[in-house]
Amino acid sequence: MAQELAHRILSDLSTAFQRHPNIDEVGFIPCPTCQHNRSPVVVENNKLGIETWCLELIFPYAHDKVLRARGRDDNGRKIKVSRSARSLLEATRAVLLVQADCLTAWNIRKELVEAEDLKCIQDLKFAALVLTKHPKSSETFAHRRWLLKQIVQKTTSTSLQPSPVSQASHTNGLVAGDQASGGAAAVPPLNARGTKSGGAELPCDEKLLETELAVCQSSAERYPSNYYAWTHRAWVVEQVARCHYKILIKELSDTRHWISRHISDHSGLQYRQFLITQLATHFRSADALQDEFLPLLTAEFELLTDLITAFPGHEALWYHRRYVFQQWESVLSMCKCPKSDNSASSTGKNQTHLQQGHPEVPAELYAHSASSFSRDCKDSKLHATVVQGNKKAKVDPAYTEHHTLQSELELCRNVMATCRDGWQVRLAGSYQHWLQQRILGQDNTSL
Amino acid sequence: MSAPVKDVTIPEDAPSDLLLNKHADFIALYGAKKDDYEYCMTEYLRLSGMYWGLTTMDLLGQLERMDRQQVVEFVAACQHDCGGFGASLGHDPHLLYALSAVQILTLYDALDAVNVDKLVEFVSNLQQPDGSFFGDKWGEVDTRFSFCAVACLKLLDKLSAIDLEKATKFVLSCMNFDGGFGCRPGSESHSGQIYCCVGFLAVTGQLHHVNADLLGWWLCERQLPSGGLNGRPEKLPDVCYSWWVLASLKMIGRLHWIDKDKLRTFILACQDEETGGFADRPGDMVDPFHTLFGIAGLSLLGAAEVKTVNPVLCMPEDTLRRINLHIELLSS
Amino acid sequence: MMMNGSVRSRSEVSEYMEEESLICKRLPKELILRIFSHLDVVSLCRCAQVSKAWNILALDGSNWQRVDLFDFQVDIESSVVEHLSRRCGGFLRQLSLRGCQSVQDRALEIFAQNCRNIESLCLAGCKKITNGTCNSLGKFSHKLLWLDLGSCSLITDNALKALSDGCPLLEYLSIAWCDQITENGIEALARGCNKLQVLIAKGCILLTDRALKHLASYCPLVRTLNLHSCNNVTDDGIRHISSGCHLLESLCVSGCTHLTDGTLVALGAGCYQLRTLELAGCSQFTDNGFMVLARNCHHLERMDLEECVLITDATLGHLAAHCPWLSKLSLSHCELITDEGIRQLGTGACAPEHLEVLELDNCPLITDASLEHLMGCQSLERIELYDCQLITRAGIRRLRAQLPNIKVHAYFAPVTPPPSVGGGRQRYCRCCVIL
Repeated sequence: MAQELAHRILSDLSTAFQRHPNIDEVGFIPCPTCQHNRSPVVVENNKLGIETWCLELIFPYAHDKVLRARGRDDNGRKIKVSRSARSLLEATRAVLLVQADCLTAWNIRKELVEAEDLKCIQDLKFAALVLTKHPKSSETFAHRRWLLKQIVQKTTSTSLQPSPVSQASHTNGLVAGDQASGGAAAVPPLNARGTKSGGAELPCDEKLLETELAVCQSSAERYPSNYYAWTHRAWVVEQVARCHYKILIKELSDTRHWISRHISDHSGLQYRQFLITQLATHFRSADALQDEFLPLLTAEFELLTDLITAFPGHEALWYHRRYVFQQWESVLSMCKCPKSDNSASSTGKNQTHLQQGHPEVPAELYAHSASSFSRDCKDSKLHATVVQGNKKAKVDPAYTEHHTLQSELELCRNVMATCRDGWQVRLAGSYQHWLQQRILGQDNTSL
Repeated sequence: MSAPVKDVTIPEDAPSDLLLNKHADFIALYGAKKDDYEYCMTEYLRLSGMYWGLTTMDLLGQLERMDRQQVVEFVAACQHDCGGFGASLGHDPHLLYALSAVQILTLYDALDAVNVDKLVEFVSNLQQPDGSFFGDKWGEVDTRFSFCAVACLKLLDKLSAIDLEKATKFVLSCMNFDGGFGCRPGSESHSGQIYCCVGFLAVTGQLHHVNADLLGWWLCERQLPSGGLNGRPEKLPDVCYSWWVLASLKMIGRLHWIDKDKLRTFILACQDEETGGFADRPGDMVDPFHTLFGIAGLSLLGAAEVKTVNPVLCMPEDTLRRINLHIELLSS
Repeated sequence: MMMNGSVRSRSEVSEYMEEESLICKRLPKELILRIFSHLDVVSLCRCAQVSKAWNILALDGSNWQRVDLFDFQVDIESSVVEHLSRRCGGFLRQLSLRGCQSVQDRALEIFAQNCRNIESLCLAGCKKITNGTCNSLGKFSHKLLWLDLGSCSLITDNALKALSDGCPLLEYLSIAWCDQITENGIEALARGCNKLQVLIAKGCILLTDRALKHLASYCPLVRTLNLHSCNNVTDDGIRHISSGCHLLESLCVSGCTHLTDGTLVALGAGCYQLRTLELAGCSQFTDNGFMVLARNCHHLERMDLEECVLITDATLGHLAAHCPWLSKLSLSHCELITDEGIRQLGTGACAPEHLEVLELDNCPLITDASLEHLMGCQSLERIELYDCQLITRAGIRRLRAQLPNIKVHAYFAPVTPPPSVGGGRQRYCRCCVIL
């Protein structure tokens, strides 16, 4: 009886997915016992609801089916494997909607993809649905990465000879490390030749990228400081978008507003650290760093100062400031002593790229990228700030001194002297301590 | 407008003594009902669950209450032909469960019940040219898996089976400017990942790569006014993160940087006086996972009633002495 | 003989064999062969490993007249089929390779050459095979009676042409989901295989009325016809069938959404032998069509009317009055059905002895009164009531009291014992489990 009912509910689920192919959210309806003779599977406006009373019926039933696909019966005894793609899709779907971290169920779906019983895109859609209920399921994100790798591999292996433009963008990819050999690759490919498309081709399907970033966004929204969502997002930018300059800039712009509304989300802020670190590698001369990269950091400092003042007591903001400061320092030291260009960068990746000694960035480049900023992110505040920052740099030679250690210490002192919020004062104290430790640390290394 | 600090308040009537026997009973009874939905729901991490429970019992000096033969037979049955272990019968092999299996079998001195050579082969085959480790054949990379690999091999005394130099290089490439580590290069620092990476360096005798003061500072900033530790900035305190942070501090010789008394108070407040067991925070539901890390945390804080725990492998020191396993830590 | 001693070492076993293997000494070879002929494939292969003598006997082609490799579908490579066909030769009469996805044309060519007495062949789900296999069958397998090519979606009309030329005895053919087949293929098939009794063409979405016309004119013996999801078929096609295939007992046109009452009228005019009729999703049928059908086809036993959304209690009245043999009736999603229709059914000719299965799921107007009306149906084995939201637990309890052996399917979950103390509390918090 229980088995038959579980079977029926599983097929109700299948019917729901057939009739509503665009189900985009799943949730459990609290309902401890079955009150009416009515399906516990409900779809309204593409939202799938499952009444909780049925979970303990369908989960063991579907879980058992999954184990049977692995040659075990309910008592763990070995049995002969028989599989039908349809029933496996049904069973793994039910298991994963309830228990998203069951890696065996995801693996079975990977096998179905390999056997061409399931399309990558279809399963990306399903995994996105799972994330609406389990936004920080690490196995779900891992499964997405596997699916994305399949798609990316397929597209790179089937694409014909790369066009010169896309070649430039490929060589600009930072993931494979040492493939940047073409001379032209030293400049950001963005609009390098003033092409009509407004920039070099992305190394991936734009739709795919867009969907993936949206999935990260929605998961980040559903669970604060969602480690898996944000590390996944960074992975996508690296592996799918190949750290394309245009994408890095767009992401930096898009997340700016987001973090202003999620000031305690350290993972979101750290994602910006990832973007900034990757962007730094696109500027390969002291001039380029000074003229184009420092304004980005200035903008970040200004944003942080605003947020820290407006919302006292947020550790995440202060931590982010530590990053911006150390990045600032390392870039500045590179600009000040161009000869040691190659050694001062903060991350390993920066070093490998800077050491390759690419030609200097042409002077007119900034104008190009600025104009395409305005195209890409028309009303973005980032654009305004970047350009403004740049102008500042031109008129104010002392500009680079704005964020010296002293001015940061001043900020701390200010907060500690004037702020009435105890926690904010403590955070400022921590920052001050951290800055002082840095001086000590640097003194030690210079000895 | 200031935001309230993200923390908990410890209730006045929260427990303040270690309810040792209650915890042992909680674990001993756990999983007795094998047919229920909850048991089925947690099947996908069964071996880890067993490791948490058994280690707790051992630390409490009551391992003999558990059925050794049944456990060893079950673990052995979870080994696949490839040498790896699934979380349970019929579940796919993964490095995470290989470590749990080895830990359980080491507790019981029963490694001969499984095919160790095949297991070593399974682990070493998962190492990649860049030194990182896949968790299983499907190719997910994470510093957690690097830790699982070396911890597993260390317990089997087979560290030589992998390329340690490359493995180290990969782990170090995940170090951040704040001294912490993330799951992949460039990923956010996270106490759990820090535990794994520092643990990796401890197991392989390379703790000198850590910037102990910088990382130690970051770690002790995890302590909140309640005394509990969180895993990342602006997260709530949690018993298990208290363990990841505490154990990492111990490994790098900076345990004295936090307020131990306050942390002890926090951990003790997470006990459930009725059922036994520890929860993540005072008043929440208890489970074996937090119970182990509550007990282990108290052990690191010097609780006399429980055995001394090893901060790297989260196993009783006496077990590791029996197999002559010693891991050098940084001194303070 | 090795069953009781579960684990014996190799040497023990061979000793045992030599001392006591009287079976080999006493029994004539013919008798052992006879015994072997009752074993399944797995047992035979095990026996083949016992000794040289047994190996020869076990692998004797005469034991291999009927082979089903479905259970080994994942492992069956082409080479296994080649090897098997060489060993079995003319003995093999029946072979199932259902689901053996790796098998290809070349293996089946070798098979067809070696096993010319094959009568029954199942290749359903052998996705890689193409027209080449059918060419081989047409060339060598002249005794073929039964062939399943379900889901072999690479085959085209030429495959049917080859079968038509070489397999004149064919009685059963399934080309389910072979969606490249058109009316030309069916025409060729029908011309050559006049003995055809069963054609399973579900999912052959290109088929048209002309295909049915050819079938009806050349294959008068057709008893079973499955046209599930052949969405191009119209009433005209069914009229051809009804005028040519008077022996038709089973027809499935589920999902043929263009059909109207004309189909039911045609069936009533020519197919009096109909026992099974599947009409799920044919949403244009009305009470009028069913009136004509019921008045003419008195042998109807199994009817699937799922989602025939226009029908009302009147249809149930006609079936109750004219179809005494009705044993299985599905009315899922027939949303206009009320308790009155069920009352007529419950007092109809089929009710006391024959009605076994009644599916009423998603009939929203049905109440507990319907269950009262069915209490006289002594043969009722199963009733589906999912989503009949006016049905109550009490109503079901009363029905069960009257018909103790009935299976009632509704969403009311079986009553589970309340969770014991602490139940539901014991849960890992996966949120922070990292190791």
